[in-house]
Amino acid sequence: MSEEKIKNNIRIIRRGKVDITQDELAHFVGCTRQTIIALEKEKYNPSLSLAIKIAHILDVSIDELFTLE
Amino acid sequence: MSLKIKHSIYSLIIWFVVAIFLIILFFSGDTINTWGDNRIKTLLISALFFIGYVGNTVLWIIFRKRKNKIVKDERDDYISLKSTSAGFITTGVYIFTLTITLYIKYENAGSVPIAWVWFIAYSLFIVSYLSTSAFSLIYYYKSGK
Repeated sequence: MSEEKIKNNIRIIRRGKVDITQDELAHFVGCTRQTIIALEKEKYNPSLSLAIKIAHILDVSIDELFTLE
Repeated sequence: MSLKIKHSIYSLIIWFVVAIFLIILFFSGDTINTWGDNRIKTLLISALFFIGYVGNTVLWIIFRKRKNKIVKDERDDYISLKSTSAGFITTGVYIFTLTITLYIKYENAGSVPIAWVWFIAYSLFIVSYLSTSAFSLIYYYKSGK
């Protein structure tokens, strides 16, 4: 199974609309800060449950957060 | 640097040191042909392996799950799965290459010194730990540390 590239706006929304740190977001969704960093650098594709949690914390829909390239 | 990366680095160091000492002990003198007579070296190699596992246990104690602190998440599990698969293939290739090399070397003699069987047994675990830790680090660095 090939891994498809998923682009995301986590960094933009986190710093703009919600204004929380990577540490805070990691704490809220229950992952490590390193994973948030990897997500923002688009070097890791999150699971569906993590994607939903992030979308929920950032108060946006999955579509607004992630786009398939 | 995440705790899991630190764990992989320390594990790599421990098993690298064990590998170096195993190679030194095994290939110094005429160990291969005098394996059965060399009780001290056999015990030293066993002790070396035991030290490796003590190191693993210490790492497990240091990096075990803590209250209110997320030590690992889904990305760590994903990397762990990928590095275990890559380590499994590497170990398979290593064993295949080593046994075929021994076969070619001792084909005319008709038998392989028993010491090689011990070497395969010990090195199998070492290569497996080394390769898994190394692949784990590679995948962490590839996915932004």
